[in-house]
Amino acid sequence: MVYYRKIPYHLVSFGVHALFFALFFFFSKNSIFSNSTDVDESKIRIVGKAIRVDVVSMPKMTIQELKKYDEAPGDINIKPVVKEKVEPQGGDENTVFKKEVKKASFADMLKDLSNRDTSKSKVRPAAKKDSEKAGAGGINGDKLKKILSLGNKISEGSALYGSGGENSGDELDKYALSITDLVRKNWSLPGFLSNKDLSCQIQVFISKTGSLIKTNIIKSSGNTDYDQRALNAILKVGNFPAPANVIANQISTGQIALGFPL
Amino acid sequence: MKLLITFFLFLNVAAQNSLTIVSVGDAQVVKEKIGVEEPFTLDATLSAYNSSGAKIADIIRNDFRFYQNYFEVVKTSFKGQSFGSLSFSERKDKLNYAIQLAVTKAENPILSVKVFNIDKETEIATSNIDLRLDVRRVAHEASKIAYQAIVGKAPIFTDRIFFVSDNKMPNGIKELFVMDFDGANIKQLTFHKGLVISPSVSPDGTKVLYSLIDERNKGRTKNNNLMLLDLGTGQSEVISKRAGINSGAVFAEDGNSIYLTLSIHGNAEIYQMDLATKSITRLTRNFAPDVDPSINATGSLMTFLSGRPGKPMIYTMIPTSEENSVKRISYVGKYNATPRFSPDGKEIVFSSWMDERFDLYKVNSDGSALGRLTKDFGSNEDPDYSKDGQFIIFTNQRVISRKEAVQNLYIMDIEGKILGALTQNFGKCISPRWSK
Repeated sequence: MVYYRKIPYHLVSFGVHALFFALFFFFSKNSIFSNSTDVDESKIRIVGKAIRVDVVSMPKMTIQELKKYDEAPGDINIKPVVKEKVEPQGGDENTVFKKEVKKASFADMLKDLSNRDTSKSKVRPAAKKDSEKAGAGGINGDKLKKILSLGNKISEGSALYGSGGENSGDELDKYALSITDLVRKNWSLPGFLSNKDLSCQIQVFISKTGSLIKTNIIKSSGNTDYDQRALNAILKVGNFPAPANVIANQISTGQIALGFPL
Repeated sequence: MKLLITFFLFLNVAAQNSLTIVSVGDAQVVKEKIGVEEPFTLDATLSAYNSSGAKIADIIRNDFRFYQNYFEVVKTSFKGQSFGSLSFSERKDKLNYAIQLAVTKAENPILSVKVFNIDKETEIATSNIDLRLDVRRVAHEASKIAYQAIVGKAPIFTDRIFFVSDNKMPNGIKELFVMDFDGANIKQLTFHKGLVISPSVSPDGTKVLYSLIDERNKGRTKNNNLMLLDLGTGQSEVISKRAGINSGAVFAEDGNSIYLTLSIHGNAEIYQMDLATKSITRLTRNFAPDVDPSINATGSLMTFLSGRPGKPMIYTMIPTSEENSVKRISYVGKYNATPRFSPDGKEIVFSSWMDERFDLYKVNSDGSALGRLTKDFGSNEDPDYSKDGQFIIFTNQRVISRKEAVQNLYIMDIEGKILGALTQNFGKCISPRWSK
């Protein structure tokens, strides 16, 4: 008696190989068939941290006070220490009302307000505590916006994506973070170009000795002045630190891009 | 084996293609240094204008100081050899921009303005302004030319602020006034001998809506009327004199209709009124009062104050039909009041009762990013954004003694940095409204 397989072996083999080839071409199509400088978005990693956001109560601190708080602008590694710095400022706004207020209707409240005897309200002179609280840097931009929505309480967020710099132990990440520190020192904008939600990303190619080989704007902000100022921040650094041997090849082939601000 | 090779090949390709993006973070904001150089007099017959030239230069410097987040006004001793030519290298480290002025003559006396970008070593603007105009007007126009050339946007320098004051008036009387953005040039606009409240300026700046409580009809039910002042003719007409409240009116984005609070049905509700036909459309329907509408620049969203949660809270809705997409924005605050949209519609500034006084706060129009603007600065109410969205004007009240308090108008930037008072010793000034 001859036993026939339901699906012949050569067909199974053909199917498996066809699948491997299909997978191979699918994942590698950008590098083999395209010379474009576009980078496959699924391969992009972002190194940095996010902050958790929740509204708690009417903020006690003003935006100006928040700006004078915290470390230098733009530090993406928010350390847990920050949590200790910010003391709860009496979150519940009801506590400021010592008098028992019976639940009044909106119309009553309107009436009360219009009858308010202004001379009774105590107005303290403008406090000058601000300068005492002032730190070296302050909170700005996106971070400020995020903290604002926190109701003035800072808590360390969970990393949404990427690996968290110092903890990862990854040489490439360490090197990338070290060069951003250098670039950040030169990264400045006039007021009328900041806070406009502009963003650009520049790929950097750095040689084994640390010299800048070339740059490539992979995402323009759409504002040439902004792009130019970002590029100047990189060029002004001059010589970067020499990358470790294990990553030298990756660094020289432009595997790091700097995001301004991300 | 084949499988392994294919797998490694695949890994290799993935690695070659990878890119790590690192955030540099927010830029350090630097102020651009700007210098207004002493004016030239190019025509000897115009020596009468010499003092005007110096005065104009001072006003321009003061104008730029309002944008202190952008510019540092530098005192310069530079004066080029001749108008239109200057040494860039000499100014390089001291200035980013230089403004040159010259009093000269075409058919009539004119002020010539030239603006230079020192870093790029180019002239970026040149213009002539009729010197027969008021000196402040000439200076503001010159500042505007320079600002537009540098920033690429219209500044506030030729804008006006409408407000209500009781300056030198009997008790209970308040009238409408207008002044330049910097507090100069105050003019009285109404003479009702009544109480003018909550003005609102049309988008084109030619008409002002306000409510008038006529002191002569004190005690009657129909004593709160909505008025429309035509700034061209100086004449006021009654727009609405329904029983109860006729107030809190604001213009729609096209200026053809208005949004206002009426209490014709017993409860304060928001209505839209066509200015030509005077027909009204109801927009809110709730047992609680809905008041104080404010419309974003495109007219797509309205913010208002509602008592529906028990306390006055800020809401938004699409003002096309009754109760359309009503959304609660604020969840905190003892007593919130006067929500006002920023010109881009992204933010709402409002006042809220805290620590026995009102202070100003802002929140994104989707309810996120609540921030405090004023603190330990008296009681602050009735905010309004400048048309360029860079400033907020508001009423500040300070108690001097048990029987005396002063109310003045102040201007601050949108992050709460107070720039200064716009009115001083001009009675109690309230309800500032920004206008083009």
